[in-house]
Amino acid sequence: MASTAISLESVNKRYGSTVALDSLNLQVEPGEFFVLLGPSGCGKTTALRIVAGLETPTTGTVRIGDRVVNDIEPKDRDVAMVFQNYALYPHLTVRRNIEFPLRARRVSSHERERRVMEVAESLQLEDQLNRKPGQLSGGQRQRVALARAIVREPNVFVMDEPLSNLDARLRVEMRAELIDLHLKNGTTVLYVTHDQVEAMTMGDRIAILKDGVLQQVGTPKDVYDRPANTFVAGFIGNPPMNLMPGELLGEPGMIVGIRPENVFLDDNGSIETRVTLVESLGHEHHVACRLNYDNETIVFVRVPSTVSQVPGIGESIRLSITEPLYHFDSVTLERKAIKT
Amino acid sequence: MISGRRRTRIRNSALAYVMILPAFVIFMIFVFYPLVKTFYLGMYRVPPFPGLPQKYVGLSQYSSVLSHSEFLTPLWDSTLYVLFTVPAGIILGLGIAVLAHRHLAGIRIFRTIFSSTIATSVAVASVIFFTLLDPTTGLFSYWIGQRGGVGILGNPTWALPAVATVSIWQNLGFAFILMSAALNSVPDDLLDAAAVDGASGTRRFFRITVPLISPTLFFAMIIGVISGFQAFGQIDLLTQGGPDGHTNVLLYQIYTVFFTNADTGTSSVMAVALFVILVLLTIAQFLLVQRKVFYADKR
Repeated sequence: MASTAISLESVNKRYGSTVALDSLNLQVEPGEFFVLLGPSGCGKTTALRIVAGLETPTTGTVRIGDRVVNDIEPKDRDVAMVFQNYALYPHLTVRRNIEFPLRARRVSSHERERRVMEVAESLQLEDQLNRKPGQLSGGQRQRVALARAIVREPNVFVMDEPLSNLDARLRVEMRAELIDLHLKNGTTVLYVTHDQVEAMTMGDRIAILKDGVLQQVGTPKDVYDRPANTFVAGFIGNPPMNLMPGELLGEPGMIVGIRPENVFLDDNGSIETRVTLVESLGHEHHVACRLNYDNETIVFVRVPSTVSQVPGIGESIRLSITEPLYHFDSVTLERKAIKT
Repeated sequence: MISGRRRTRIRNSALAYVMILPAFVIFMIFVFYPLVKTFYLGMYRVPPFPGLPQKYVGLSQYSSVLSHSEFLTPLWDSTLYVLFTVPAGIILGLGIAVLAHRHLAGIRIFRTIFSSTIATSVAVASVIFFTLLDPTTGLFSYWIGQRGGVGILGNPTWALPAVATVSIWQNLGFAFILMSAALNSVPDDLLDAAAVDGASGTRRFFRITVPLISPTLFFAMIIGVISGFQAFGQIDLLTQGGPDGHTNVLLYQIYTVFFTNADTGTSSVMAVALFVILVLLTIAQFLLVQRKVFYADKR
């Protein structure tokens, strides 16, 4: 399949006085798996719908390949979309659902049959072809939605939280399948999610949005290791980065960030705290502690399950920290380039 | 010896029967008894002169009336009337609902206007159109050059379509509300998906919207056919069955035969026939059309 770049140049979207996207610039490379990540209402779905042609930008330019597509109908953009709730046509069988885009493009019946069977086989849907979507499980519906997108052999896939309606186990399976699929056909994917695990595991690059404003673009490692500001630092990583007021080389007005995996239980540690919450995940424990010297600040510690003595709630414990430390300006909330 | 559980069950059933008794009594008095009585009256021939005793003729009156043009011509007129009003009513209602199903400024005003005819009675609608269709002063008559003479309502060709138009207009508000509600129930995501899948607006409408609102279209068709065969008010107010019987639909004929001719036998036969026809038509529609209807909860 062909791979095509997507670019959004100074794209704004306003609904009345509400700003959904504020001067968004994005460049998705051909064949890239690009993830738009952010909390609900950050504008990521709006950006996706603008690329698909379901919304028009208030100002700005959208390009797919070399073509400016601002005024091009969704049907003529060669973009296939997977929806959050699958958006399968409930009155049509799985077969008719998958071939719907082909029928709309007047593909011959022989060719339709060949492509439907090929896609159905690759997604293990051969036995479901004559059933209606209502008779399928969530995972099967998800596959049909994918099949309907793939069968067209489009230039670009856009996916709007396609895994969010699946249960946890199925989500992990489908994640692997999507990555596999992308590796096989190499089509450009623009993928929207609020789930940082999906973003980190699937994306070649991630763009993090907040309130319609782009916060950072980078590889998963980039955004984790070098968060551009406190929002990204707090959004990526579970538990989130610990952020507390501090100073840098004697300069006050700083926010210091430490990842929970860089904080340790240490009887000789210099930081005195009291445990407020312990979450046991099996392979590790997340321990939340309140600082003794600053009752406002909660520090998360990741404790591996190999540690035999997990503190209980209310217990006083001491912590020590290691590098890296991150320093953010307490006014702009941007990260200072110095890393100690 | 009756066990405790059995006694509770009997008491519960008894209570249930007591609860449905009022509805049952009303049904028996106002529906079931008149139906049986009508069927029974249809077996008695009314003598040509008042005062003479009615004569029991059994089902022979049924066969003679139902094969007579006195019944068949009004039945045909009713059929034409239904063919004029039902498809046009549904298509117009759907068309206007599609137009109003947009996020435009001030669209609510239009929605209110479009649905306003639901608050109009047959009498009001008929008077409005009677004025518009008046041969001398009516605006419609003026537009289509039918000035003077007998006008549209007196024209054998145009009288039935004119009366049908009044009904379509009067029922438009209901059809509009029905279709608007149906259109609102179609998920936007499906239409978005179809748009991205490459379907044109027309294709989206006929391949996605129409199948998804088919239960409403089916419902509109069933009640349209039933109410079409029961049309009376507009006929009585606009044409009284004229000119020369061209708008003499079945129910109006039954009314005329019963009240004007005082022929309870013949009119009862026709009333029973209308009942049977409506039941058969409804069954036929369920059998033939319902296969094309998609119910979201029936998988």
